Amino acid sequence: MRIITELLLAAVYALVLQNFIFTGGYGASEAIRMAAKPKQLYVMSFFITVFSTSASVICVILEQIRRVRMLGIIGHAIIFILVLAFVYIIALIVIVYGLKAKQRTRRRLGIAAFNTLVLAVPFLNYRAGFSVPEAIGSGIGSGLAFALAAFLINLGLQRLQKSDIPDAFKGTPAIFIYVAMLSLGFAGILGTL
Amino acid sequence: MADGTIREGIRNSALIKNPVLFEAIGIAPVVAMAVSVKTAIMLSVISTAELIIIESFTCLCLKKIKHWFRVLIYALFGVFINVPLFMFFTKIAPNETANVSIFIPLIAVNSLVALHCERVAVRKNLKDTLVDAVSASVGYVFIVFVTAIIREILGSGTFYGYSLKLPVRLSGLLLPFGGFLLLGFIAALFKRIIKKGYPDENPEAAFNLSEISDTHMENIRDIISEGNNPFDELFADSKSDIYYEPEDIVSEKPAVKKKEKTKKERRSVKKTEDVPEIQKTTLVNNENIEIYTVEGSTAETEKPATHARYESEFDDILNELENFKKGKEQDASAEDEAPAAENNEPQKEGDGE
Amino acid sequence: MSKENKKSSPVSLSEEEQLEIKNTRKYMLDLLVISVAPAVMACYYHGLRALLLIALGIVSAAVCEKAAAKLYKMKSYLTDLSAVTLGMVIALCLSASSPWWLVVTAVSFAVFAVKMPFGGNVNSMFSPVAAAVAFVSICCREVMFSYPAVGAGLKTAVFGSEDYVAGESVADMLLKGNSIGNSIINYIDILIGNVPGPMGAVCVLALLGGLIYLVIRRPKTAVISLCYFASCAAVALIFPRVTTGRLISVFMELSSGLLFIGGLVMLSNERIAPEKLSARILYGICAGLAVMTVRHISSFEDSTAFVILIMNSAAPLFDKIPKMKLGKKKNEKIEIEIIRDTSTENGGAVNG
Repeated sequence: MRIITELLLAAVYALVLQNFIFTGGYGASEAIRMAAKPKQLYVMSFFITVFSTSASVICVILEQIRRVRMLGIIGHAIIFILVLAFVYIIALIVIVYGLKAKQRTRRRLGIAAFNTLVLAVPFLNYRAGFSVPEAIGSGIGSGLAFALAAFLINLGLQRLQKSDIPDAFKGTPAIFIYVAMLSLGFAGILGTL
Repeated sequence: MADGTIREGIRNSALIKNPVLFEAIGIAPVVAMAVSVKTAIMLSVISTAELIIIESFTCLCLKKIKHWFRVLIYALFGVFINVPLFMFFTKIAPNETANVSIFIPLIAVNSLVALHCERVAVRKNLKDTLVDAVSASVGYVFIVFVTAIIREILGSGTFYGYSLKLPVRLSGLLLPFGGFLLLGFIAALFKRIIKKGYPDENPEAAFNLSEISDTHMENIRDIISEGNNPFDELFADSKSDIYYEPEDIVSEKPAVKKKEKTKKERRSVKKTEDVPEIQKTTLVNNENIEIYTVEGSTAETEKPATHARYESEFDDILNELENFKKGKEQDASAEDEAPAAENNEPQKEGDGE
Repeated sequence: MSKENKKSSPVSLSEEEQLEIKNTRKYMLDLLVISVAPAVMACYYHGLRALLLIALGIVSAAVCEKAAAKLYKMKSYLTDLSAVTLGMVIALCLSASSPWWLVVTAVSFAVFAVKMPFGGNVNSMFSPVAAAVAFVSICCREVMFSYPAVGAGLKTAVFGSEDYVAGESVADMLLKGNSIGNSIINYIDILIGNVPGPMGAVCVLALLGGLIYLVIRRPKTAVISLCYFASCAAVALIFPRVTTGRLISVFMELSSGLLFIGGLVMLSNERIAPEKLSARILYGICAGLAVMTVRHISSFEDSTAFVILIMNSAAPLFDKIPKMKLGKKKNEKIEIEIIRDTSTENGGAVNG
């Protein structure tokens, strides 16, 4: 019961309370670009969830080793990226050779694995001293946060397309300001600045 | 992309197709890290080093490597470029480095590097690659510095750490919200400058918004209804990718398509021998016609339901076009004989939107 | 408003534009009427200072709108009263001890960053008032949430000055878990606005009058507010933040911070709210649940504005949700089929 509570709390924290995309800016490029191509949203979100969760869990387990714990930030960065690379290779083998997915899927795998959001999650877990259930929750929450962010931005993009916006703000300027408002909204949820 | 001249390359990559402002890539480090001049220097140096080194390396050595391995190499390479730079900055500016310690490794997986490597380094020669790397760096660094200076002055009330003793401090601008907001206004300003200086150029073209629709709302309905496979899309041939437009991967398409055609044709021939079947015609790229069976026991034929729906909408539009053309032809021939009757076809198209 | 109409001379307005201005003016007049009573009460308790802040808000909004219209090369019409309303409501959401620059900052942000970049009043994406309040809450937290004490002989002074006397708002009490207790005088004080808090958001009676006016004038808009208040009350009843009683919790929550004025003015913005009635009901309920949930977890004493921003972004979703049906759709088969006769090999498109 405690494990499930920790998992859920960490997931809710990553999803809503401190939405990694809006309050941290992690994965913002991918979320904005994904919002403009909504057909790929669920697939990308799924991949991001898988990568962030698996990388989180493996990194938290490795943190139990004293030598790894003693490393500094850059040492942790090397460990995290190597773990991510390992998870990516496993996923690639499964997707390419096991499921025989097409070119597009393989391309998405790379983007889903190597982005600021997925790499930020193990760092945030390390800083917060999360346990394994919390790391799982954080990984799942970050994937859902990505989906939520892309979804909300997509709603905005649809409205922006229909609106009569001043010429200077058409396109990415209006998108950025829209995302800024969302970011402002999410920043006030926890209120810890 | 540049014709080869450095000036034009810089103009295109730094201004008209500015990676942050108009392509919406590499945003995370800018909004999260560019909060002061010192952090902007760190971010600029690391991003520039990564972009130039990784793009050059990709151009020289990675062209023949498969894409999915290249992406991995970019990330690993990026981290190993970060290590010495991180140690250098830790020595010269330990406090600032400690404040942004988590963001420096994240620059290794910055989408800026991956996108420019895949779009330019893999396809062009070393000179064009270097021009692109330098010009994208110039554009990126400029935005980083402008954002950082404004945020430090208005948010912290300092410049390069020196207090300006301003009466008002808007500390909220130091949050990612402030970064996004400033990027929006800087992008608007750049757009105004481009429209005045280069009226033929269209910076909006750098970010493709053509796919925006509410089709994902239908996907929600599908996902929660029975008989849906949310991974249909994995095996469907969607028209564009998050970073790669159709023209970016033209070279890889034909080979795959040919094989599929042959398999499907063979399968359809086999099945027609047994039972009169329902087949579906799809149109790809307005030129090629792919025929594949819809009804069948294999999982592969059941998969593209969503794909089929998109194509059925496309076929609807084509049918309307055909009817419109026929109507016009009839009008033209009727005009020769008698006064033309009113044609209802154009109105249907407008209503259909 | 079509682009061709925009190209017409600034003096002559097309019919569309005139109609748009007229409709906007009607709506803004209603909002101004709603805001008058709280403004009067604010001036009663805080004197000339309140009046000056409100006037400053209105003037800043008008100037900023004209400047933004010129800068962004778009049209704006002060005659639609949107700038006036915006300035007034923002001022009412701030503390009476706010320095002048806080009002100007809030109004400038609302106009330059929220209202005009998206095309003005016609194409509102977010409530400019909510965005302005959220912005100053984030940037100037201490100043924003510092309210002057109210009482006989107490003069309202600017925050940070020698004469400034801080008071404890109802929202602050809730954050700390303190209750107003059972004293009837405390209830009357809250009803008539004799408590510290945002200038125009403390007098519950004045705001209730505004709600009644909204129900009579714009019942479809009032639905959002009513559902919002109902769900806030329900959450306050079930999950009280004070231990002195559930009804006290409901009363305190509804009268604290910007909850009431947020539901009355910010959330029910007609340009942003969903169109269908069922969607509006759902929108109001969800907003209430979200506001109360965030109040329980946020360290801000009032996070209404932040939640309203998020709800504004999700507003189009509510119009779509009632359409969705769970389960199989009828005629799920692929619409276009080619029935191929294998002997003749004739084909043709058939619309399913």
